[in-house]
Amino acid sequence: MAGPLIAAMTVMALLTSVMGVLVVPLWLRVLGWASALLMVAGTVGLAAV
Amino acid sequence: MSSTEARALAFATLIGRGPRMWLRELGPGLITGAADDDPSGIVTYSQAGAAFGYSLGWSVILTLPFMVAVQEISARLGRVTGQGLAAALKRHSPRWVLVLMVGLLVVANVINLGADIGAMAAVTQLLFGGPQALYALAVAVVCASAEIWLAYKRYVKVLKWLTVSLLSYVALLFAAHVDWHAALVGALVPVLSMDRDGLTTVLAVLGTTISPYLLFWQAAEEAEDELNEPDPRPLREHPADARVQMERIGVDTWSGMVFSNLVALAMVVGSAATLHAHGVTNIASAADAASALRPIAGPFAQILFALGIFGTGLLAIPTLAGSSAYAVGEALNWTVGLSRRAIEARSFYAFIAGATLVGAVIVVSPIDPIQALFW
Repeated sequence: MAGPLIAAMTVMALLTSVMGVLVVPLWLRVLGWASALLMVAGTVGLAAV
Repeated sequence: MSSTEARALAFATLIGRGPRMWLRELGPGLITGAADDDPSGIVTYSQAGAAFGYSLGWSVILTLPFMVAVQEISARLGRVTGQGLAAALKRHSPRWVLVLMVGLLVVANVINLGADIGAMAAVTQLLFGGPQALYALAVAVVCASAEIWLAYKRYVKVLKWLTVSLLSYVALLFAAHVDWHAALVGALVPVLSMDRDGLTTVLAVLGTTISPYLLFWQAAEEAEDELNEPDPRPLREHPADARVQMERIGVDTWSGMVFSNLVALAMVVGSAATLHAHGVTNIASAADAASALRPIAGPFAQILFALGIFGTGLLAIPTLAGSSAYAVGEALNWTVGLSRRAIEARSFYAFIAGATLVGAVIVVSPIDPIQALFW
């Protein structure tokens, strides 16, 4: 499942990049990181079954 | 006033002014949300409904807040910096991150272009007969030409109108005998089968809903819209407008993503009520789904499904090709922008044309883009 992993990596890169721009409230960042982690967890979970 | 209260007020004000005013305010968020339900996304949602009936409706609802978050972050970034996501990565991340992200984006987008152009060509062939390869080429030429030659403001209007085509999947529900109680339970009560098929389908829904090309596209379109305003400076150079712009981005993004996910839910429910209910539990392509639909829900349902594929494809193809061109262009310091004339941004437009045509070539190649997207 490369698709979700690519998406997760992009979200992570995006979030890392906006840390310097400081236009994103905390709740958006938390949800953003959560979405990236959810995709990584799903990909790892799928590999495990 | 907290930001949540401000946003609620912005929603209420816009809705109070009437639907027409509200629709006029919508832009990059609405187009991006609609582009998320592209033909390959339709296959994913239809497969979820065909294989698991109503029981995976919740997965579409679950993705909504995550999708809103990452899209709103992208939009804010574009509006504040006046540039797209690749430019921000270039400024704030190591070079290898930029190269990896843009490289992965372009590969995934070109394969996705192949899947979408292939789906449009296949449903056209299903309805009218004729050679699929010719339809694929025609779709690629029409989409790339419109993106290159139409004036930006007119082009955005065309894209906004194309979002209406998604309503065909809502209309499809009226041609199906939906068990509304089961649909509601499926949408609200998460049930996950922990086998490979169940996990794969949920992950496919997640990966389809949160797609990198949408992040790059919405950021780039915010920057592009800003350039076309009376004050074309990036928001960080006139922060007095920040509150108004952030509220507009919030309303636009929520509206677009709620619309996108409701349509995706309609696809899952529609597919559950037709395909799954009649024992069709595995579909490999959009043409498969359209073919299976005809004997179950009638020719009108098949035509609605095909029209939806075609309309969303016309919306998704320029988004996929455009987001790639913005990303590569910003990484390589090209002049980029759909509001620029072709002669001013030759490399940018050449990339759009090239990526779209490569997508069409994939249709006639031995590569199965749906499989390639999956893995």
